[in-house]
Amino acid sequence: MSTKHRTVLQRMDALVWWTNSSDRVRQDMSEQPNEQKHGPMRWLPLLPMALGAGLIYSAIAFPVPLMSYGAAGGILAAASSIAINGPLGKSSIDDDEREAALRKNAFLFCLAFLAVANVVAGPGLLVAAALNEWPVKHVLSVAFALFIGNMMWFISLPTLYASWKLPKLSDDET
Amino acid sequence: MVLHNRIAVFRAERGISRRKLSEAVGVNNQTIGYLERGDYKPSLELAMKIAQYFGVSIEMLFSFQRFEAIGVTLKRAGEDE
Repeated sequence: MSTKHRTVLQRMDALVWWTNSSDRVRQDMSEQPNEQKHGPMRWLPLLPMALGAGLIYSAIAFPVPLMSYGAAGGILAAASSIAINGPLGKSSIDDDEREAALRKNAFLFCLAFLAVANVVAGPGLLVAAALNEWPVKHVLSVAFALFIGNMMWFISLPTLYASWKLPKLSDDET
Repeated sequence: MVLHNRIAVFRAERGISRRKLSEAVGVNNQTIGYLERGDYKPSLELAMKIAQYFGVSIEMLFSFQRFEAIGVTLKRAGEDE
């Protein structure tokens, strides 16, 4: 079928190819050895992280209508796609001891970073809300932005950490 | 502390590919490369599996001191003879 006459649902279905998730499922179900490459991504995860931080900043600086957060779904899907194709993207069941250690360290670093950031920023935002007498809508907007921002960082930061921890491979290793 | 190893030397001497060694000891192909370059320190279990695969003691493969060059070893062996 030509791409011109696709229905909305068919177009949405086709978006799955873009995320590489379909290849992942096909590989997982195949009995052939997994040949999908999970190379380092040293810069790409910064994009969803920057968008997450920008979303939080914009929600604090000026109230964003809750409806506009629908766009966050697309950004979360893009962040997930980056993570799936990154060094931690393959199933953890297939990890050897080095990969398991890398995965553990990456998520521990991410959780520690987010814990400190939230512990510091949380009370600060509470004080700011009280001092500036934010309306309930604004508080809700900031709370939702914090949730989405945390999700983006939780998805992207481990990939970024693991990518920079991986030394460059020689040609016969890739 | 740096952990030196001679995995690449043993592998080259016996003509074994990284893939074959990785399949024998149950790790990813890339992990053998990281081990050879000293980018990753193996667990005791993995170190023993590799030593067992080559049929040598673990001290022959791993050391906290830098291994002497093959040329020096051969020269000393020649002098002893």
